[in-house]
Amino acid sequence: MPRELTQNRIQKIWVPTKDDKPAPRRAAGAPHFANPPTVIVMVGLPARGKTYISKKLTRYLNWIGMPTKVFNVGEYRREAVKNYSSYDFFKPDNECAVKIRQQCALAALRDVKSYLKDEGGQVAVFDATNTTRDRRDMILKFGNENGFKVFFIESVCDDPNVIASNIMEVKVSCPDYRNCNKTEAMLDFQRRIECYKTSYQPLDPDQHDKDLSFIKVIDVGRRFLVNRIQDHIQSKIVYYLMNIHVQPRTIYLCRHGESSDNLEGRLGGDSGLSPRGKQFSAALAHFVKEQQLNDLKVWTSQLCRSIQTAEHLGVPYEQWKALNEIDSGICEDMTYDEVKEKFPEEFALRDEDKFYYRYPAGESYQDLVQRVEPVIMELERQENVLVICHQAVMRCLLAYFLDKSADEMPYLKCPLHTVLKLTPVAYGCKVESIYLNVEAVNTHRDRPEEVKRGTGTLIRRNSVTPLTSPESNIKKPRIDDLDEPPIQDMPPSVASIALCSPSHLPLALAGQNLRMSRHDILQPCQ
Amino acid sequence: MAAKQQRLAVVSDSQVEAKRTDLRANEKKCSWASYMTYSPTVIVMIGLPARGKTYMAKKLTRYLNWIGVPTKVFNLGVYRREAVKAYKSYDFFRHDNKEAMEIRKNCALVALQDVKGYLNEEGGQIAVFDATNTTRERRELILNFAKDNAYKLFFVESICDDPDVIATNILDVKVSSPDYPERDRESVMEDFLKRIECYKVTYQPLDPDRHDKNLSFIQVINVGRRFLVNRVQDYIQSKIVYYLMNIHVQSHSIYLCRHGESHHNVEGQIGGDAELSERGKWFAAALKEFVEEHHLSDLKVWTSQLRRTIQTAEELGVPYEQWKILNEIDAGVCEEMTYKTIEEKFPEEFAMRDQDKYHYRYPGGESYQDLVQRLEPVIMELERQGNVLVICHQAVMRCLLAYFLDKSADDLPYLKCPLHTVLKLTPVAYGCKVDMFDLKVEAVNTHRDRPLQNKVQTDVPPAVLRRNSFTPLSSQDQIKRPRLYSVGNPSQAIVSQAPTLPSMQFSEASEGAELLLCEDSLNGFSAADTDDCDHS
Repeated sequence: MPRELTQNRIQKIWVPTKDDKPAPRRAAGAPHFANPPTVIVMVGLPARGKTYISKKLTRYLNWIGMPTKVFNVGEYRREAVKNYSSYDFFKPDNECAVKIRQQCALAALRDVKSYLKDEGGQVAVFDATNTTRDRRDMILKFGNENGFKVFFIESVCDDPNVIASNIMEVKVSCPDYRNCNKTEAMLDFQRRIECYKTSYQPLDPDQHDKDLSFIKVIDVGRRFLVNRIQDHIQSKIVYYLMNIHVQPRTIYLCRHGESSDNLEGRLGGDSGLSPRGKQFSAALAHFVKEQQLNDLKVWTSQLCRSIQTAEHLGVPYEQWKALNEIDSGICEDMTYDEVKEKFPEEFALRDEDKFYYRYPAGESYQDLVQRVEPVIMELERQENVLVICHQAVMRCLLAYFLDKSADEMPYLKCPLHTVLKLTPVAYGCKVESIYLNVEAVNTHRDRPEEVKRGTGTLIRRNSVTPLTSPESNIKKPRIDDLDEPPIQDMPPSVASIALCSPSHLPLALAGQNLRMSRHDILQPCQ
Repeated sequence: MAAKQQRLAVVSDSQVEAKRTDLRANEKKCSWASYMTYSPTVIVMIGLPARGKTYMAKKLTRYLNWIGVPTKVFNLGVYRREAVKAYKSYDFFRHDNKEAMEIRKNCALVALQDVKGYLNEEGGQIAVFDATNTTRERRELILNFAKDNAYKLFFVESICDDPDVIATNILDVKVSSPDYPERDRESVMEDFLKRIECYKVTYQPLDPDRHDKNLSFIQVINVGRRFLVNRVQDYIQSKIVYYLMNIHVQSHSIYLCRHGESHHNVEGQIGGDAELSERGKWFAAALKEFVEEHHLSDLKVWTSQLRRTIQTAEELGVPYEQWKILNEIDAGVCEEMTYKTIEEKFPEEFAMRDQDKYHYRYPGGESYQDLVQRLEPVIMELERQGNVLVICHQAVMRCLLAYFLDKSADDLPYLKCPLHTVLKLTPVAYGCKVDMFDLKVEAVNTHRDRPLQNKVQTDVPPAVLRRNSFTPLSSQDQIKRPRLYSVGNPSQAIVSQAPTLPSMQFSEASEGAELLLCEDSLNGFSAADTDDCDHS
């Protein structure tokens, strides 16, 4: 018998009611192809960009709503062995060290398991060199025993320049070399690489590893070898890896100039620019000239206000319908006050869970993330781009670059007449916020106080909500984190781990509230 | 909805009106994908015979046309058969057969001239050069050709050493080849295997490590088990790679249908989120029976997020997945109106839609063109999957169907997708077989025919109009010619300056004759189009 359908009030999704149980949160507009959890295993010598790929991929997967976490074995090792002395530690014949490293890997795998089994994780990225077949066999066995799919990403690179710049950029500042100068660090690290080289067994697509699923990224994306893709998520990962690049570039995000609807406080619509909006467009033209960018691409939405803004620049631009503002359905063209008056219930629902809330006959932020995904993919492919878009769209894009969770995304501050300049650095993204000195109305609505500590986390348990990429467990030793996985099940040698200093890779962010409360979102609720 | 209507009024009052109309008139008709394809690209197939080159070439071409990038296949075999009317045996393909080699090279030159004509004169953006291209010498010639004309090159090499796959391939498509008109299967197989041997002697695969390391290419190894991708240059190449990595050749069927009849259907209203009518529920029950009768193992069921499709799927009693992107076309301010109301309230909009239904975007809503872009991930995932039943909506189903049946933007919005009817699509050889199942539950007719006054104009668009537009075309539409020449036919204007082949003739008189076939009973796939593999 067909079941009765009821509409989920927040997401406006029709769900069958069964046994009075509230329907679970649904994935975004597309099926999430409920697959067994996946372990992504990085393979490659040190300084081949494994951690870069791991972190970037993790950020992307979290953003598209696939809970993903990096497990960096190096961090476990640094926990276990507090004082790194030299590359001697990585010599294959250093038996004691080999043992410690093995145990660190086991500890990390144990955490992978609890992340995928108990904490709602879908993808775990196991970031280590994994250069020997022994180690990979162990991981395969681990995957097999737990019903996890295993996908390898091997980074192969022989260009000495790339390796050197990689070392300079992220390795010499690594905590291992806290007390060294750059030259010493460089030298030691190169010796470290040599230690691995003796035992390195690359993936062999022709014989030994021909049945495994993997991608080899060769010479920083110049070539790829892809073997036996198994499912939707692996195919997405491969596509993503093939589109990212490491050329230095800058992305500029801004909204259209102030529109006449902005002045009246109206949502959506397709109005033209206000006089101040036109001033902003002129200021933007000036700004773009000042930046002296060759080959700057300009993208707009297909709405009048963003096109009018781009028109002032006097350069070619491209229109994306996918960049159009969130569709507020029946609330289009209303002011917040009117919405509150006409649809008080809807208004309250939106405050309750702004990310999931879908306007009747319109869209949610969740829908928006899906809609702008091709834009992100193309942004990754491009070099310098200026995107002239809209408040909600800009929040979605920004959340991707700054690794913000679904909880924060709809409240990110993207004021009018302000350009955000995003520059990729090391593992993250630097943000500068440039106010172009043209006044505009404020269109930001803060998170309402009364629901700030709302029930958000409760419903989050099994949902596919974009999360910020979590830091590894051992790195967030805050006493108040009662939900941390217990450390006692680690092997003895690692159990002695003391809690270490915070991340050594701070992201420089301006204007945004950096300290995000990850545990709020991540924690599996009791 | 009131709000949306009001918005239209507000906007038309405002000062932006002029600007808007202007924009609308100048609106570029090309798709996003077409935008992003900056310079014309030649895709060059490489591989021994029976490695699925033509399969990939045709499938890729169909996909690219559907996403709005005008693409055409140039199959060298067709040129060769033109030049040499009677194929005798594999002797022709021996590398020491000088005379034959000369003919084959000439054919390649003629085909390249046609590629040039297509990309320079006819508004084509991508040409797929479908030949073996197994020698470096031949590829060098193509590289020079591309360089002279500033085309980007992308090679697609198919490598396969699984004898079973090759044998299947020969049986599937080669025995029916015009080269072998009256022969029995075994001798064909034998001759064809010898033909392959002829090529093997001189085959130089792409060498990613040295000789060809600077070229852009993908090697497809053992039917998609492995891929090697080198130096992807741009958006469209990246799309092509992604597509090739997602298609598979396992046999599967895709079932398309609409939700059961809804209350809005009965009232003649478009859009909305109404429930099923009584008859709609009967259809859902009939669909359950249909699924059971056909013993569809591992059938995945997808619906939109609108109530009528979910109600239909609920009846099946199997798990299903909801996609928002399968939702019906957004009719914007016209949501929940009848066609009659629209005609009264927005006569201008109504008329515009009839003029160019594919590109027409409802105010505050979507066009078919938007829909195609929205549905692309669905197509990609359908290519990845096995058996899938998609319960969707009229406009959505038209877009999906157009992809599988290679229909142009012109025909797409008028494809017949009646309620309570299941279409079963099964890939065969180079095309797609369609079986239609009327589940015998009455329903209203929601199809609006192409208005008569436009019929002539839209059916046979003047060449000039077509030339530089970026409207999706079907792969066949690219050359409106008699069926005999339906693949890779050189454009006449250019042939005259090109190296001529003595026996090459074109029956100009019958040009366009094929066109008249397309408008028969149901999308024209009742007879002719069920077999797209007619590559004679």
